[in-house]
Amino acid sequence: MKKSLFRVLVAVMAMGFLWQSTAFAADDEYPSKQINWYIHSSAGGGTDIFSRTVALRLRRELKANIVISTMSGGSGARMLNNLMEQPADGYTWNSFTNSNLATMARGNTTASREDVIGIARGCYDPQALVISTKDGGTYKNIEEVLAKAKESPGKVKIGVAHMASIDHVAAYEFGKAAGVEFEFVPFDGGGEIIVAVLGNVIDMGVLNPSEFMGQYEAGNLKPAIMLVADRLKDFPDTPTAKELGYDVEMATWRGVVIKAGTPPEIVEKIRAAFAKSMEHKIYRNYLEDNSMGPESIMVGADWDAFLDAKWPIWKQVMADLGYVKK
Amino acid sequence: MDQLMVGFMTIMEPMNFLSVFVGVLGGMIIGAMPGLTAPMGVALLIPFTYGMQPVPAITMLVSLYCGATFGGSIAAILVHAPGTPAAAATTFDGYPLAQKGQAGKALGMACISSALGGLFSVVVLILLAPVLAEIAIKFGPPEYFALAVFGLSMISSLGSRSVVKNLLGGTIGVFIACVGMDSISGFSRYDFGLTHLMDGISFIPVMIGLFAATEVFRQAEIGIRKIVVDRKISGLLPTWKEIKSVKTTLLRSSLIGTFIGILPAEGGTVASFIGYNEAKRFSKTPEKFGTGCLEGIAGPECANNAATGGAMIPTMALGIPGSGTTAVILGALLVHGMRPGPLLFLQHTNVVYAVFIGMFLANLMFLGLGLGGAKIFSQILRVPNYVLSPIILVLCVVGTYALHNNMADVWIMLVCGLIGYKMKAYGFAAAPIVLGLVLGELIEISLRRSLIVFDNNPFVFFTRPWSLAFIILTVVGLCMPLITSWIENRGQNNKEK
Repeated sequence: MKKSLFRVLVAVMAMGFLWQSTAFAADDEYPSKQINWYIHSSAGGGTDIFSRTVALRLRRELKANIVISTMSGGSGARMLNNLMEQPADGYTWNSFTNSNLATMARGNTTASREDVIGIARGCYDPQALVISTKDGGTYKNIEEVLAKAKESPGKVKIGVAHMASIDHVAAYEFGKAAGVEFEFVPFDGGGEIIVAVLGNVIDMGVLNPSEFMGQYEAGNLKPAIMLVADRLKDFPDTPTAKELGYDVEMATWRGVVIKAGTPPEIVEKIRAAFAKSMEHKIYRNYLEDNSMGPESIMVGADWDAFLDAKWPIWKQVMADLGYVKK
Repeated sequence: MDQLMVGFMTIMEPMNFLSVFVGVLGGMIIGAMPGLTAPMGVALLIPFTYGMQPVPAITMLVSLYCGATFGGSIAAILVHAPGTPAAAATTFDGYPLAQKGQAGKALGMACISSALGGLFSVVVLILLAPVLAEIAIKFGPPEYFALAVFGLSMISSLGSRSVVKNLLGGTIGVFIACVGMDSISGFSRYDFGLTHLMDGISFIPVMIGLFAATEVFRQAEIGIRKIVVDRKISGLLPTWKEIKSVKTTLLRSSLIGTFIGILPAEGGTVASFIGYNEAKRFSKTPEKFGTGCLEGIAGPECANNAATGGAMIPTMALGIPGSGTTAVILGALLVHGMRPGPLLFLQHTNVVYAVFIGMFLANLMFLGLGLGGAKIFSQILRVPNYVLSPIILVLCVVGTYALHNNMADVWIMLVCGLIGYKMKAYGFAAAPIVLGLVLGELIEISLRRSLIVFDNNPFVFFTRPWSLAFIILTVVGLCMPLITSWIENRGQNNKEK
């Protein structure tokens, strides 16, 4: 009896050793260990769902164990600080959104734009300025809102989700371009803004199509203007900022970054895996269900260039609004 | 009616029935673990539902929501650790009753009240969802402010017998809510330059610390002093007569819970506190509250489960989540190609009604599981304290860490546990602090938001009907004890004459 127990133990240990050595054998090839993917917002939110949807295919593409976890704190400050402390080996990823760029621009984190490399962007959800059409609504179109704002400065109230956020920046930039001053009313999310617009508590709300689509189809809300260049296929009748002569392009975007200094071949491998995973039906369906177009997907150098273009704008706006840490 | 029949048939298909069962059971387990909450459970489950049909997928998530809301009461009653925030008020009377050796009765009462509250709200959801969803739109910032004031007025009567100590506790709670990002200005307050404090002090670690950790420390003290506690555990369920005695409380809490649930951003936590307080206010024996009376369990438990159906109303009918968990469920509906909003009921009639019937079934299912399990769960109390307490503390630490994967939360929980332990020695109760923390943020932001929207006009709170109604309720509620004691005194004086 004792002898057989001994044999079992030896066998188990040998198997363990063999498994270990195969793991070691693959060490030179990335990825050879678990990848930790951090998001700054809580489970069930937009960034969480985006990350988990891409990861479904990524795990197969990279043949790696990818663990997504939340590292909240200071609108991504803690997550970015953590990234700066990890080695540049491609095993730590961060989801990266407008809020995180704002955190960087405000100087709330040790990381700056040049400290991260863009892997891919997966979401590009345009910001729309939405008015109520319930019982006729107060305004017919964006011109009427702007006329009111010119007539009584600071009396037109715009609902935004949190201050110093993409909503706030979008409404501020649009107001600046149109030469009017809005009063910003911060809410905790799109749902609350919709309620406030429907209840005529505020004049206009900054929302993404995915948030107000249901109410739009029911005829209670409509976008007065889209802060994009070309008209969206879901909203053929809604003018864009560019058409009306305002040079403002604002969208809620989500993507992934890693630490700068990661070996180029690893960066390219991850980018390629993202490109393939976002081609897949699962990801395409996700985009469609959330009213986003395939142009959301932007991989590699393009996404890096996009971030480079956004960086000075955000730094400027954050300074204008007084949010930069002195 | 036809749609309901179709829905019923759909849910009775084995796969769908199974998903209700899995959802409820998983929900009860997640709910019973302190720190693991319903929104987290639903969020973790969503990726597993990608490959499923819409009906079983959504039904499973909704069942998990129902199961978790009930499950929270199990740990609240047995070990004074509210498994979910909504179960905090259940500890007030549930735990004392369990300590008296009647854990079975407490669990049974919680289970029956939860199920009845849940069933009530599902019926309301099925019959009146589109109509009631309009209430959500009527609630602007001034109404939320008035509601929060009404909620905060409960501080005077919740917790210890000393009004001053309760008010002090409530103020501390409101102060803790001030830490972190100021939503109106976008700057962070009282963060002392620490990244951990920039998002504020979350409610759950504080609650677990004040309730569960404090109790563990207290039990440890009792252990050291070798006080022998009576460990006779009865698994007996409440009798029919006892259930009948709380029927008005059940009806009241069902209405309160469903109403609060409909309001976006307010969920089961506020509902259960109001449910408890109103049960006490209208009780014939308010002095028994806090010592383990059945009304004190029925009030909050019924209200928090009624909030589940209530919260589904704006989620489905407006596309606006009525609580944290329904916000996640909303995301899941989108994943499965259904866009919540006024047209959902027309476009996806069969799925919608099948989900409603599934939710109804989920409430019946945890009624069965809960009543059947009450006897078994109560045996946990047979485990000696020196084994049970460390396990609870470990679960608290793990649960708090799992919340945001943040060690700072664990420290907050432990510090709150120590503070709570000291406070209890000086006669302070945890309830006012927790209530202040829950409502502090709402009261501040809704006040400031109202003033921005209505051009700094303070009278707006008295000119809007819903807002005025809550202000009047608050004033009446606060004056009631004074008026009744004045009438009693006058009556006695007259007699003496």
